[in-house]
Amino acid sequence: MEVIIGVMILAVVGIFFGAVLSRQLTDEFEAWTQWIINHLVNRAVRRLAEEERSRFEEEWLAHVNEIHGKIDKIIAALGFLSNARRLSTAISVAKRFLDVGSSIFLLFLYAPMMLWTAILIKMLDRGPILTKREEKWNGNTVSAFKFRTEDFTGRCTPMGRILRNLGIDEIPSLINVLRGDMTMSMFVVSMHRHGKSSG
Amino acid sequence: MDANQPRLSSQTLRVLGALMSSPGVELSGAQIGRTTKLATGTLYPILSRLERAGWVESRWEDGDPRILGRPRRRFYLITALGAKNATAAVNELQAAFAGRLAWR
Repeated sequence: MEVIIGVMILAVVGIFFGAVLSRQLTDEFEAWTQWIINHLVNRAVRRLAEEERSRFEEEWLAHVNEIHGKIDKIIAALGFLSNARRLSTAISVAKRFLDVGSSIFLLFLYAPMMLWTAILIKMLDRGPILTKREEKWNGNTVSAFKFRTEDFTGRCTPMGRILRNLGIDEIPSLINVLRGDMTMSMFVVSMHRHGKSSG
Repeated sequence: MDANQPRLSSQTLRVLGALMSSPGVELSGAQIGRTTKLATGTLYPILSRLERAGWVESRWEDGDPRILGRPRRRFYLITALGAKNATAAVNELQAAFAGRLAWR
């Protein structure tokens, strides 16, 4: 008899904790879904011209809001990413392919040099290897990856000066070209502008 | 054809059809998506092209997002120009189809 009562108590407790746990997991999943959606919409919007960003951010979040089902919401949000490139700025597919191809090629070509630069930056002044710098382009602002050339007070480090003179600090922006935040022409212009300012 | 004219793909026609099915009624992107079964990646470039060509116009839902507790929807409405062009395109298609049937 006691055994049966014991098992029943255990079962009740088990069900209770199971319910609490599954409730917890659902809440967690809910929070994650919203985070993923916000992240995707945000990324998609960043690919648009600046004056269009706030409109589409609100419109797309409202769109996702109107959809039922978590998976469908995420699929819709993923769609916005492919959208963004075809809207307004209309970057052609061929050009994008060329950008992806050439940035991968250059990243491979520069890989040994980038590796050595990274090791040297780490050895000489510790701190982070990469920083982000704002680049302006046709009214758009892109925060592009660069090798860090300044110390925490904002002064140019000796190593940084060499990197800037050689234009090496700009090379990590190829990652932005690969990601689609920048185009190859933006990258080339930023390298060129750099050469002018330092030389 | 004018460069500003949207290309009348079957997907574009589906969007126009959805907007014309209930004249004068504004539809949100999500509602058009549901009716046309188009993915978001296809739908918004079409809506954007139609809007730039003046075939469709859009406006924000009334109300403050803070009071609504959610982002505002954007409603789309077909313009007189859009309705005229879409009808013309459909008529043209029908004529071509009728011709083919007669030929058979």
